[in-house]
Amino acid sequence: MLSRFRSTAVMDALVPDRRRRWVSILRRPVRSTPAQLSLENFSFIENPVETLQAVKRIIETESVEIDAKLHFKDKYVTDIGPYLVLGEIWPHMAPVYSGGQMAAAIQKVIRAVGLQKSLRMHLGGGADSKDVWAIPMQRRRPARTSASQRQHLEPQKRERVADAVCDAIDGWLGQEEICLKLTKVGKGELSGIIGELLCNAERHSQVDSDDGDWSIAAFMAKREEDGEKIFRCHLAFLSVGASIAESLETAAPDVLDYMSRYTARHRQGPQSEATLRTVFALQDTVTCDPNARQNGRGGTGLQDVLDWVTMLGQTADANFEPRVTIISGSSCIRLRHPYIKGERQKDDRSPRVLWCNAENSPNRPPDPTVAFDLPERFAGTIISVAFTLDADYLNRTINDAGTGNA
Amino acid sequence: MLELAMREINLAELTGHGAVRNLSGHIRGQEARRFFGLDDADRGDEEVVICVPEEVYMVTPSFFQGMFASSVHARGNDREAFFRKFKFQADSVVLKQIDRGIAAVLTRRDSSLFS
Repeated sequence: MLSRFRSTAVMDALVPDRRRRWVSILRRPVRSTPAQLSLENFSFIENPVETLQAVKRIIETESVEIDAKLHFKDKYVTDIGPYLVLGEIWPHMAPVYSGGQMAAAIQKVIRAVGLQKSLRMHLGGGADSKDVWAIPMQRRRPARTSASQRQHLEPQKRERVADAVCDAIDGWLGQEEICLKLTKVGKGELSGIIGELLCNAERHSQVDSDDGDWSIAAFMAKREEDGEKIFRCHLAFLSVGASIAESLETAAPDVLDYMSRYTARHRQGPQSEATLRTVFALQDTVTCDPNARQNGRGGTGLQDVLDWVTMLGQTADANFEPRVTIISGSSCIRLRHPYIKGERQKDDRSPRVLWCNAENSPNRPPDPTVAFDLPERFAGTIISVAFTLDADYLNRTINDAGTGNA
Repeated sequence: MLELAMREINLAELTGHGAVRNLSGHIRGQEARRFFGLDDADRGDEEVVICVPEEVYMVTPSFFQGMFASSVHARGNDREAFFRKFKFQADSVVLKQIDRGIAAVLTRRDSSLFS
């Protein structure tokens, strides 16, 4: 199990002195009891600070120990985002982790989203796929590795993934308890949102390149909660490289000017400039591409995602309302009711804004429980999404609208 | 009888003949524009028929703009003139997306966010 130090953006950002701390495998002490790490409430959505710190501890342990056990203490996967991050870093880590505890429900999800191989796990439980429907993890090949002269003329990975997400959500909605399906319009909108989101990651996550990488995974689990059948849906998207705040450096002058006025206005608050910039980036029409802004394109992807999630995740039960967490660089934005969806301020063509405060105003600072700085830095962006398909509510809404389709 | 010269562009060449059901990305649109020689087409008089495969359910605004924004501009930003030159054979869902793409080409960014 000889392994050399391998540098990656995610690991190096979370543990900046990793190279210095790295101990050659042959020099690591053999302990009578392996190092033990426990992951609890492993969710960027519910527990972003501690979850990122847990990932950091995993990396730190990998640098110095020769044998370690990793215990997943949760009963269920409540956010696929952290597992996507593990899938990103695991192939680059020394194989010091061997075994640990993991509930069958988590094993089932790991297997369904195809992370078992990346995580080098031998799973004993959760062998059947009953009650879990997944979009296996999809990755665009690492940045700057395409050799094709016709790179942009061939069907794109993001387009295949957008189709897969449409098919999967259509399948989720088609469960007998829900019995809905996406219309062609719905599939078109959803594929457009996913395609544009992934396209943005390709264009903006790598400086001076439009060839960045990303990964995505999703699943729906049917669970029995308080005697009710609940359809929990989870989706996560990860891009490695520049954070949202960093990528805005290249924005058009008018965007930079407004952003600088916005961040100056709230400089005395608890959020760093980077976090204020990340809030700013939530607003419609804010794009880091000056050419796109000049030509009236772009800058609506995040609000499109939030619109879709809140539309699909409509529910009468506040416990099941949609939640979205964005981790980018050292900034975290936790979106949930009442700050989950942008509002158009004037008419239906004005930009959607979500300033994360009660007045939904750029003149007020963002709520510090919604937008805050992280003690660690993630080299890129993670968007974790959780929502519940509420069959009764969706059917009632559809029936009220006089159609059988979503 | 006079007949207008006509050229046909089949977007199935981009979708891998059914490998994907959506087209996205501004750069991809620009590459498609070069591949199909739309700059030359803009200079000529021939009509261009754009065939969008039936299974396609999304042509994103950014793809449309990458492929056709210059053609809209070449026709004096005149929507009707654009449609006289380019005839789209597509599902009604996609035709609406194309209409939205043209609207995006013709609309300057709403600056109300920055007011």
